[in-house]
Amino acid sequence: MKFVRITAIMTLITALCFAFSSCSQIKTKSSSQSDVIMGSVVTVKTYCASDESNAQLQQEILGRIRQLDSLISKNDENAVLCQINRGLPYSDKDIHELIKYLKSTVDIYSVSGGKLAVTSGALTELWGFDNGEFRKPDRDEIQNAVSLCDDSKLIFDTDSNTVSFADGQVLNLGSVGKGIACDKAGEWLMLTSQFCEGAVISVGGSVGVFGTHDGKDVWNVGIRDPFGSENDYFAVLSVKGNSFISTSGNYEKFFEYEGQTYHHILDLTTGYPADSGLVSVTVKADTGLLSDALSTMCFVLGREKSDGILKSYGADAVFVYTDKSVEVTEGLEESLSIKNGEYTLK
Amino acid sequence: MRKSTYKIALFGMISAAALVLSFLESVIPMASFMPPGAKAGFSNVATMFAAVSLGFPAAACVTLIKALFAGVTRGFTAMCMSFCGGMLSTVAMYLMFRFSKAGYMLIGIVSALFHNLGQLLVACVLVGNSAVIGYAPVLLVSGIVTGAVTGTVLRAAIPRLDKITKDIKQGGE
Amino acid sequence: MNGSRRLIEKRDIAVILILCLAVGLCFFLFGRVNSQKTPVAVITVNGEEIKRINLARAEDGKITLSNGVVIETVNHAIRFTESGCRDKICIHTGSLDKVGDTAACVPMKTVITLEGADSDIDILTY
Repeated sequence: MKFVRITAIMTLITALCFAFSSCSQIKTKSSSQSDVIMGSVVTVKTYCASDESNAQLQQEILGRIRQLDSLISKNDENAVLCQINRGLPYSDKDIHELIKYLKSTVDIYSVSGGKLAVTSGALTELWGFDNGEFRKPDRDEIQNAVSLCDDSKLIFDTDSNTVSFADGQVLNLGSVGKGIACDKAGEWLMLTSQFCEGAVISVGGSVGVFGTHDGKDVWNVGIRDPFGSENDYFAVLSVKGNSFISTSGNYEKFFEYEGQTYHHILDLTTGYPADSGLVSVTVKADTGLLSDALSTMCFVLGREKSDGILKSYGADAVFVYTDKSVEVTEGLEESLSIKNGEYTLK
Repeated sequence: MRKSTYKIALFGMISAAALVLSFLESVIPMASFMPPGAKAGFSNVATMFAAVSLGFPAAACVTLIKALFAGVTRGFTAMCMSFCGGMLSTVAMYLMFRFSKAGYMLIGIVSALFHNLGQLLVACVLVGNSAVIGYAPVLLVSGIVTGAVTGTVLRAAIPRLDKITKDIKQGGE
Repeated sequence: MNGSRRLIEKRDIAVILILCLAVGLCFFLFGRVNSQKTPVAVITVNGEEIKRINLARAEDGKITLSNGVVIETVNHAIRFTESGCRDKICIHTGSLDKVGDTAACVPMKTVITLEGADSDIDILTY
């Protein structure tokens, strides 16, 4: 009799332990949503307490990114940046934020020796990379556009909160826009009232990971295989949230003309696609804007010139060369794990 | 016959029986109709009988002997698994014999379950991670079945065993 | 002394049923979960992860570990083929092909567990 009681009590305790342990880790559900914004596929995956919270947070984040697009898009006629480029009047409301982004980007690119700039629009539009109508411009056109790509001609007036530039110059935040969108997602995650343990966002391949997922604090970010197809990855970066990772690769936008391949990452001093022996660079930095800007810059400048710059921002990078050799800076050595045997770590 | 002589004699016989049963187990190809790693538990019958007729210390010693035997014939791992599983099982079965009126079948089941649990714990420690827990459901189910069989076998053997112990006692006189 | 105890007491049946239920619960909680996901075989030695193999993409092949254990992938399933242990329980476990399947060679401290493929990466950067 005593034994039966003891067994019953023990079974009850065991059952309670099971129930308790599964309750004490408040299980979050996850779901994701995608949309095309800023000309890129934006995917938001959230880990919140319920389906409704997930849907709500995703809507909020996507909404914020659409707002961002209406601010910094160069191609959308109604966007503030577009208005500025055309010398048209614009609303004061958002100019403060836009100028902040412009200044930050100018600042970062200032060490590139002119190879990158915010005033790159004249050249990128010439090549047709922005509207998808790729074409190879002739020498004179390129020379002319190159002379217009010069950030030193930008003047920021802090009193009137305006920015002025030379005739013919076109401001372009295309190389940092996706990173900024990731920052927006992170900001919103902090403000949201929903109970969410974490989220991951991809804006055209610029990634932001925040918080935890299913109690795990490490996120596995795959790096696209430059020689493979869309969903192939050759390596994985294991990082903790919050982290921002962006990749610049010559496989994203390119075209062939008379036997030559031209990709979209232009060296503004030559006017032609950058040629540093790299096929892709992946940068991990403290903000999305930084990771996006640095990935483009490192691609153009190459490994040696990038090292110092990366260190100064506390960022790290993975460099992939045309021969499938891979270099990684110290900070990411432990996090990188190459999955494809054809790639070798130098 | 003095009580102590009787005890020693009985203990010796039970231990020998335990080892023979252990050996039988390893000879019969269990893997074909049982999940890998599961044991038929024949030798448990001997341990249970030791617990009933000679008390806990004796049963514990039988377990120890079984473990050493496993160590000599099947290696270090087997010894650890046998020892841990066996000790947990022996403690559980002794407690049940001493403090409850449960039937032989239930005692057999509980001791088999604890035996498997002990083995899983050791496996986790030896292997370095808890992945082996994946085996748990299967082992527990087989534990219930083999335990029931062991308990039933012992119950069926009780009349015969009683006679043997009586013979031993009288043999001395 | 021994004759007074029966094979099964009435109360025992209830206890046995509770035990069966508890074990069945274990099955549900720890058993096959998400069996639709393509499995990734994780090989660990001494608690450390040695290799991950996505079985859906894996070609047939053999892997020999540093401790002499040989593991084979055949037809998108994985199994122990050779091991220096005495009992060969690991080999008898057979092929693993579903998420949750496990095989272990305890003397060689080697374990193969199958996880859901989603654990490979959470997002892709491009």
